[in-house]
Amino acid sequence: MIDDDPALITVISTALQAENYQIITAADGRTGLNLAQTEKPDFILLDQVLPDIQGNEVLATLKQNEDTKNIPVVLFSNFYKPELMQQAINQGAVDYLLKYQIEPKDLLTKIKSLTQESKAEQAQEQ
Amino acid sequence: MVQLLTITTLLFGFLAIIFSFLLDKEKHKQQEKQDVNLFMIHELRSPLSSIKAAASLLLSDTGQIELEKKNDLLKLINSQSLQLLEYVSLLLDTSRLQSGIFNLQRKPNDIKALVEERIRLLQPLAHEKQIELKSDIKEPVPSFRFDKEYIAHALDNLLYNALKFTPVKGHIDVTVELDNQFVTINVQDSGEGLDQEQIAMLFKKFSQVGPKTANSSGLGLYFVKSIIEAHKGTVNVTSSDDTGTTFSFSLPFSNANG
Repeated sequence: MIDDDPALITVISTALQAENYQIITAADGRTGLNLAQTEKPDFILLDQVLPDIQGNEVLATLKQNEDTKNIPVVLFSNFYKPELMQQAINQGAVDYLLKYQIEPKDLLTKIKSLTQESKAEQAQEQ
Repeated sequence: MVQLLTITTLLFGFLAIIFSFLLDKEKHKQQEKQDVNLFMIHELRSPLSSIKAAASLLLSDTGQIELEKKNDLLKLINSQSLQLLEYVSLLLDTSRLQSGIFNLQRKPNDIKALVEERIRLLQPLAHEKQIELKSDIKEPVPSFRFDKEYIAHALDNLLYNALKFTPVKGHIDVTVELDNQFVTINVQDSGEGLDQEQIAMLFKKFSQVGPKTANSSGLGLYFVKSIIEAHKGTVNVTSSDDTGTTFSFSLPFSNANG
């Protein structure tokens, strides 16, 4: 989870940990990029408004890197701007979710479904 | 005839440039206003989203979340609600800023009493982090004219920032100095220092600098600067890793009307 909002990280981490997910967090884009490369997570939740670089820039870098380009990324933000949302989808984000609209249980359902899809694709490629 | 035509053409050209400049300025002003509104909406949604998500999680839990985690979520709802109240207050002040009307009520006030009052109000927050928050005003400062509500707001903003950026068991010292023409209030913390690049960004709109563990609004310091400048005062910041960061603002020491 790449997000500089410690309160939301606490809530989402609690929800995911209750379902036995392991969470790695980064409070800024550059740390997130480094962790994505070293930890190779199954899924990335990415905020748009970060202290150093914009979420869409982080996304573009993830998709350009051989090690991270296949990790499903969902933009998860309170920043509603249709152009940015479309740009994220065009750059390969799986979805752009608005934090104030989605319930934790629905987010969990989405994450489960996306990680299962991703694992199935990887198994097919192998 | 040719000369008249040339002069007329030049005059119209000049007027067109002026008009274009004024139009650009108005567009820029409207864009700034829109940017501030978008930013504030985003800032308000952050604590609201956390409150909503935490409450939803607690309501839908069927025994999977440990009791300690549930208590953490309840504390989070409480602290984020306080943050939301702070942002709403800032939003109201920002709207006054946008209207260009500060409507200062400059009256003779006691700055020492004001500083001590604001410090007293924030002691519970300082206590939570075991931070020593104190004022050190040795010399008496005569009353002088300033808007008590706005200066209290500016001081609260600096103190809140100092509390956010000072680590546990740190200290924050507030001093007041008087020279012939200005009264200077200094808020010094013992947090991480800021580098020159960060200092340059500090008072700009939406700028967020400092440790990433602190979640601060990017509009607060911009508003502090606006309040102080409306008083014809100045703001300053100095910082180093050894001494922490000191935010200072100076107000004209005047008992003249206006």
